[in-house]
Amino acid sequence: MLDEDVRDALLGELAERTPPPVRGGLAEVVSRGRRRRRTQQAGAVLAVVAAITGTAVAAVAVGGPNAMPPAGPGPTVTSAPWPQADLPAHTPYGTWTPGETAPPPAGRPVEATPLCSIPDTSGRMVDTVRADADLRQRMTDAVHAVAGAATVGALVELHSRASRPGQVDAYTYTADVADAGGTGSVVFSIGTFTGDPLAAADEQAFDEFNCDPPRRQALDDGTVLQIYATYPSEPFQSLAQVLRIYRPDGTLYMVTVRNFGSPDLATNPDQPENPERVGAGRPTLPLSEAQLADLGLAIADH
Amino acid sequence: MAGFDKEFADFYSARFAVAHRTAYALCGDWVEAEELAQAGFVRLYAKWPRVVGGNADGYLRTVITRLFLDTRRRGRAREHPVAEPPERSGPASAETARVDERQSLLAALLRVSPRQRATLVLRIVHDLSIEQVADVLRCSQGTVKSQLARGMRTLREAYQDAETVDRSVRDVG
Repeated sequence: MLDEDVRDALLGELAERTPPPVRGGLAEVVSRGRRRRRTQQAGAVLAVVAAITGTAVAAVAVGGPNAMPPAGPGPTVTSAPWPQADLPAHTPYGTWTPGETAPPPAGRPVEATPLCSIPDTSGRMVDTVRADADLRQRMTDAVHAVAGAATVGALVELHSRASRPGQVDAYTYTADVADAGGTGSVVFSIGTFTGDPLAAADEQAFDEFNCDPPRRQALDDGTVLQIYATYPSEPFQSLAQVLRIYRPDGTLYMVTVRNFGSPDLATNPDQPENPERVGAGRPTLPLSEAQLADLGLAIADH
Repeated sequence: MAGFDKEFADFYSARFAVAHRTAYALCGDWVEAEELAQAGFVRLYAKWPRVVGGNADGYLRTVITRLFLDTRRRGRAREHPVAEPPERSGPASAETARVDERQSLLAALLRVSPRQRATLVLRIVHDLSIEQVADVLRCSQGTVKSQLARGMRTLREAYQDAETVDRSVRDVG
C-alpha cells in the first residue's frame, strides 16, 4: 500500500465514521477557557493549582477562633452562619460530570453540581505577595486552632517566577490537614484589589463557577468576607471551597480548602514547580464551611 | 456576546467537528476524542487574543496532539493494543457494517505506538511537512523521519494481519 493510498484510506474511513452526539459545548469551553486565562495571569503555579482544583489565593493571621471538631468522614454540611449576598442567582449552563480519563474512585458518588459561567476576568489584576516568616507562622497557628483534633502539616511555600513579560511572581502556602477521613489541604495566599471591599466582593461574587451568591459577612471596619459553595473539578472529581476576604486597605486574602493533599501529588520532573496530581484524595473536605468561616474571621481580626 | 467571544464561537463552530475527528484518529475513542478536542479549545480560548491573528488551526492541532501524548505518558487513559479484534456482542448496526465491509485502517492505526501514531496522523491526515511535524512534536526532523518509517511499517503489518484474518473468516464462512 502506497503512502498516498494510506492517506486516502484513512481520510475516507474518518469521513465515514459518525461521531456520537457531543456532550459538552461552546459554553463549557468558554467558561473553562476564561478560568484558565485568569489563572495564567497569576503565574504558572496559580494556573495549575486553580485549573485543577479551583484553588484561590489566601492568607491567614492568628486570631482567636474557637476550636471546632474536625469535619471527619461524610459530607461537610455545616454551613457558615452568614447570609447569602443580596445578588441575583445565575442560571446554570450545565451540571458537573467527571472526565472519562480521570473519574472519581469507584463507589464515590458523582457530585451533580450545577455549573455557571464565571465573569470575564481578563482585565483584572491578579497578583500575590510573599508572606514573611511571622505571617507564615500565624497562618499555621490559625489552621491549628480551627482544625481542632485534625493533624496540620507544615506550611510549604511555592514560588512561581514570572515566565514572560506581563506576568508576576506568584506565592502560595499549603498545609496538609488530615483526620480519620484522610488527608486534605488548605492553600493560602495574599493579593490585592482596587476600590471598595463591597464592590470588589460583588464583582467577584461568581468567580468560582457558583450559581448562587456566596455567603457573606461584613465587619464594622469595612472588611467583607465571602465563602463560595464547594464545587467539583477535574481530575478525580476534586473538591474545593474558597473563602475571600477584602480588607479596606486593598489586601485580598484567599483561602482554599481542598479534598487532597501532598500524598496525592508526585514530582513532575519537567516542571518541578507544578507537581503531578496522582491521587484522588479524601471523599470530603477536611474543614467544614463553618470552620472555614472561623478561619476567615481570624484573618479579619488581625 | 462580546466580540472576543463571538470570534471564538465562530471558530469553534467551524472547526470542532474536524478537531473531534482527528482526535479520534489519535485515540480511537469518540468520548476521549471529545475531551481532547474540548481541552484543546479551552487552551485556545485562553490564548485567543494572541492566536487569532496568526495560525489558530495550527495552535489547536498542536495542543490536541500534545494533550493526547501527555495522557498516554501519564497513563491516565490506558491503552492496550490488542492482537485480536474484539468480539462483536450483537448484530452490527448498518453504519458499523458498512465501515467494516473492508479492513479498518483506523483499527490498524491503534496498534501503532502513540508517538508514532501522532507522527502518522500529523503527516498523513493533516498533511504537514516533516519540518512542521517536528515543530509540533518538539523533536528533530530526523526523528520524525524515523518515527514515520517505523510507524508506517507497523501500520502496514497490522493492516495486513487484519486482512489475512478477514480473508480466513470469509473463506471459512
